Amino acid sequence: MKHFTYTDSAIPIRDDLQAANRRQWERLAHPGSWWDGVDRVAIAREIRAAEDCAFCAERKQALSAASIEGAHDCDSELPETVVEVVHKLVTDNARLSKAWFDDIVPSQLSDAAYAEIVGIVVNTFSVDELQRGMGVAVEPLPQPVKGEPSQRRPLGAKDHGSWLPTVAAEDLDSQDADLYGGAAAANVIAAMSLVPGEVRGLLDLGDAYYMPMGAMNTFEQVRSLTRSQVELVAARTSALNECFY
Amino acid sequence: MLLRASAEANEEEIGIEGVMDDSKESQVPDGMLLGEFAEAVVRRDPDLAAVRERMVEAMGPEAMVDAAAVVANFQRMVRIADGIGIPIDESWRGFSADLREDLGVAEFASSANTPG
Repeated sequence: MKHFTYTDSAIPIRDDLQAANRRQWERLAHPGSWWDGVDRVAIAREIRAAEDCAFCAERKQALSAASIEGAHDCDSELPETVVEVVHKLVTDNARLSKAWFDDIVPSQLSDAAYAEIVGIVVNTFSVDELQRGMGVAVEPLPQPVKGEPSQRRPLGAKDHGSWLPTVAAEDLDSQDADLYGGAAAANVIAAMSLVPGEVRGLLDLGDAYYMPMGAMNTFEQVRSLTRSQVELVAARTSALNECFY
Repeated sequence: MLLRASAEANEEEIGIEGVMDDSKESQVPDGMLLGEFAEAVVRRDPDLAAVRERMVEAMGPEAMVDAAAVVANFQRMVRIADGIGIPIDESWRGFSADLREDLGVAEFASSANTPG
């Protein structure tokens, strides 16, 4: 099946968005570092299930999320903990806490397996959000590609103050030397570097959705929106999500 | 932070309070409409289709697509920050502190996860 053709769209959609979305679907379908293609696509299904999950809705309305007991409305056979991580990231991200994380990592999920879940969720959710924003139906998920996860953990991962170890530019090994484009990486870019493939996905989508990394500090206009318009939308979206970072 | 930096770089006047309060003017051209669009997507507003249509009429379809892509990008970035509890970057700490104070973002629950 050819994905993201936009043949029914009444509005013109940039070719680079189409191409970036297709690459994300390729990455999603293939085995990652810690999850195989079947699991990765199942995680993506849970992103969509979270939108209609009654337990998530009830918990989001509660003053204390921990005070609500129940079970998620699932669309997969994934372990309950994985479903919890996916649904919480999608529906109640502003109230994630270190205590919640510590209950899960490392006792129920390894730090790297958790990092990959975050990567799958944020990159896939972003594609779905683009479709919703543009008024286009969300794309059918890809067919999983057979194969085993690489189980490769970057040797340079260290504690840099995040909940997860991350890899600084100077600690990248030869396989990932180009990961940050030869520059130092902001914490939000390095956040998922326990799983370099998810950082590659992040940057690939970011180039098309936001702007190429090289344009970040030039403040030149690279889209039909002015740079201030782009940054206003970015800031407003972050504020609506109550994002301190 | 990049909104203020981009305005300074391009010698534009902005009202930073428009970021937090949709009743306040950001002074960015079509800022109210862009903010309304971002809010409609993030809040799953049933009026999203109508807001989208107004954006296309006022700013053109390319601008609407670009705005949708930026919203989608930052729906992702906030979840990375929240999901991995990353600290504020060392290089941003000093000059972003007053902006955070002005915007009142320290009251967000997520501030507990982001040392800075």
